[in-house]
Amino acid sequence: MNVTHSILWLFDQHQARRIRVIENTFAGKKTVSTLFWGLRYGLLPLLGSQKNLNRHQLEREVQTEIDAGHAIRTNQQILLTPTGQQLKTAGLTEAYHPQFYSGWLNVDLGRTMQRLLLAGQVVSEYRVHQSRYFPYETDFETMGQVKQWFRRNKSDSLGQKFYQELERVLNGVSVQTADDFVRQLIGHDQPGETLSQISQASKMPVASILAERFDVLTRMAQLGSAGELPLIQDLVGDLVRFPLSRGAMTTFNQFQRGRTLGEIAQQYGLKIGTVREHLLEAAIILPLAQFPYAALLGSRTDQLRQLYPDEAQMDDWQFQDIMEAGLDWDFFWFRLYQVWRTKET
Amino acid sequence: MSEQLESQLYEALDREFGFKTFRTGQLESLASLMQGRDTLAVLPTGAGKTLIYELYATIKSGTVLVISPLLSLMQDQVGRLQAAGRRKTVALTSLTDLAERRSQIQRLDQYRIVFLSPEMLVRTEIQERLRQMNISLFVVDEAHCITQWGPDFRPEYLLLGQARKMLNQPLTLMLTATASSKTQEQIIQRLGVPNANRIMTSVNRANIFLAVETVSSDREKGQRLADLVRSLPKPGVVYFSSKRAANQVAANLNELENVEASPYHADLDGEQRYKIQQQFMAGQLNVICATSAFGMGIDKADIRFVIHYHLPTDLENYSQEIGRAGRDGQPSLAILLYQPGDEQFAWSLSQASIPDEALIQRFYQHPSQFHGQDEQVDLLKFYQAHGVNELAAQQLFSDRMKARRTAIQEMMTFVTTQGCRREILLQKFQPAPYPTHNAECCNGEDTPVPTLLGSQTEQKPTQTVKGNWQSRLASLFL
Repeated sequence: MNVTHSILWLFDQHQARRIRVIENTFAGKKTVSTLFWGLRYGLLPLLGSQKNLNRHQLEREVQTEIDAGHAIRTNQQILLTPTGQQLKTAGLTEAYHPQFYSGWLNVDLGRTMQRLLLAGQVVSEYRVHQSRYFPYETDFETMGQVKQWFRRNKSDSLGQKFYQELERVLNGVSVQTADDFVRQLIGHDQPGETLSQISQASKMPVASILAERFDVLTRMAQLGSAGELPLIQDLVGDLVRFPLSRGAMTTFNQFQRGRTLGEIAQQYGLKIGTVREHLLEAAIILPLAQFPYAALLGSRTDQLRQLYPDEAQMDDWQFQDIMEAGLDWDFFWFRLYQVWRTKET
Repeated sequence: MSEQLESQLYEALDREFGFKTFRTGQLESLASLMQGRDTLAVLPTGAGKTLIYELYATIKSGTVLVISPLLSLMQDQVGRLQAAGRRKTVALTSLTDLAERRSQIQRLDQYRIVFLSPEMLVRTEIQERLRQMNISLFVVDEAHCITQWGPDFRPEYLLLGQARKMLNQPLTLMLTATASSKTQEQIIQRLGVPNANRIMTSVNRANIFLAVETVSSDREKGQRLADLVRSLPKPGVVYFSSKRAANQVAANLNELENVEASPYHADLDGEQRYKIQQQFMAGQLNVICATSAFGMGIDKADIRFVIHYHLPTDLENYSQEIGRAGRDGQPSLAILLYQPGDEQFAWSLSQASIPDEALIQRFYQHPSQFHGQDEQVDLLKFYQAHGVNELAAQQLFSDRMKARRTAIQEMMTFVTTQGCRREILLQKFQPAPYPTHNAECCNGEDTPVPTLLGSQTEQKPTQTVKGNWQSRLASLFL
């Protein structure tokens, strides 16, 4: 995405946000801190959606908004001014509201799009028997995957099938979304439109065009997994991901089977701190109902509730209050409680 | 050159590229290489420098190694070569991820042309791999970068001579469009090829009229630009020193009738850059608002004008950028819009990458206190790691500042002269004699900017596919 055109939507008037967290979320850094704050900011589905985001660029764009009086910086954190918030709200009313936002996490959106762009071009040129053209320049992995996919599926009816599967996907989204998505594709004599060109044509922010893209790709992945798009599934099926890291998944499974954290640590030769981080990752990423917060926190829940009664102020809660109350608890319990409360509200 | 060699080269040209004639300098450079001579070729932008090593790669066995400063340029070239059916080409850069790079390195000897960034070349594992290979030609593209200090500058370029030695001094081709005689000396000295054969062609581009117009305010500059873009035949390129200005002006120009403009700069990701380039090539866009990131790899023959919205930091860059215009040989226009004081902006850009005295001192006293990514600190670290002490660093950077200041002064002489601008530009790059000033030369000596340009057939932006998404999708795949 070109964040040049709107970054206000990433920030808030009442919640000071760290640029670093947002950048790490886009980049897909799965540290517990990034995941937690990504969750707090409501930006977690963007995890890993723009791996090549240029950090200086984001910083520059923030500075532009600060210079324009739309935001202020305090302690390395960014807050929108009332004007900035107004602009954001106005922007959001025109903006696209994602249909599959929580599903974004389950698809490697960046790589899926790269494969789709190149494969689309290859199919389109093949259809007109053109072998000399400027191939879409992308990474080596994508090129290799698309090449093999093309070899496996080359046939006279390839264009027809590719068309039908895309049509099947796009029939399930709004006309506007389908239109904006198709404009992005590359093919014979059609270089494809850029996000900002589509944004101008449809009078929606660039972030919306990107959100539409992510929705289409997510729906594509869902239909693909359900076996409805054999050709596309063969192209991008491996890019559907379970968002938990392997370590976190193992730990969580063991924990579900009734093992204690200490036992898990011992069995896998992990530090207890690592096991706790795995569980936090699982808590942040899994849906609320799938994580046994109450059972794990036990009687700590009541004490935590008393210590931190005001959930609206959660970003300002201090772990120190626990120690000052004479409780010798690990930070883990504090953070886990925060994750729970965030998910419940 | 023997007749036999000459006919062998013509034959290869026809066989590989389907051309009957060489462009100026190509045949001479190839002949020089075929005779085993290290060669410095100074050829104007658009002269087809890449054809020299591409053709060489088809004649000689082994691998041609091309050191190129710009990552995007390498991607472009690999893309273009592959599009032309030359698939055994690869670019090895820091953009490539580790696993991919490993597999490329393993298969390196299977490629006919390998593009490398200077950063990659100085890595031990890559040098070791290259030493096992048969390097038929060592090409230094944009060789002036060895001496230049700008956005393209890579300190690693300073190590190219050493790297070449490590590779047992393969036959070397140095390519540049713009090298003053002083720069030529430095290139030859730094690469350690004292006996290099120099192939020189004039950098003069007679079909490009050179103009400078002075405006008194930002507003007037914007207005004048809009007038020019409206009335000049297109396509055209407007160069900026700031991405922000490129974005803003592109948006303004888009309001004009028959103008389809887009910004192009390093902040755009690969997908957007690809699309903009291809739209421009296809005529869907007719004006590009670019920073220096644009152009190195663009080969569009019919660009009718290049406008500079900001003052370039030196005549080398200016000459490179106006060189995008009129590659088809048709009359074209280069206009520099100058507002008094613009040189301050150029100067601040020019010195931005150069550490000042205080920073150098602090760095050398407490190098461990400097973390993170900072262009200036990275440079200092590089020099320190290569045995440059504080005193030498101070001297080096202060010389660099002076050189940059002189470069801007030369640019200003070009801007403010009452005389022939072309002569001032050419003086920088080649010895006399210079072409006599005339009405098609430049707007020095009270010569008016020609209006005949408008009489050419104008290219209007072509339309993209219309209709609903189903018909668009059908036009792609059915």
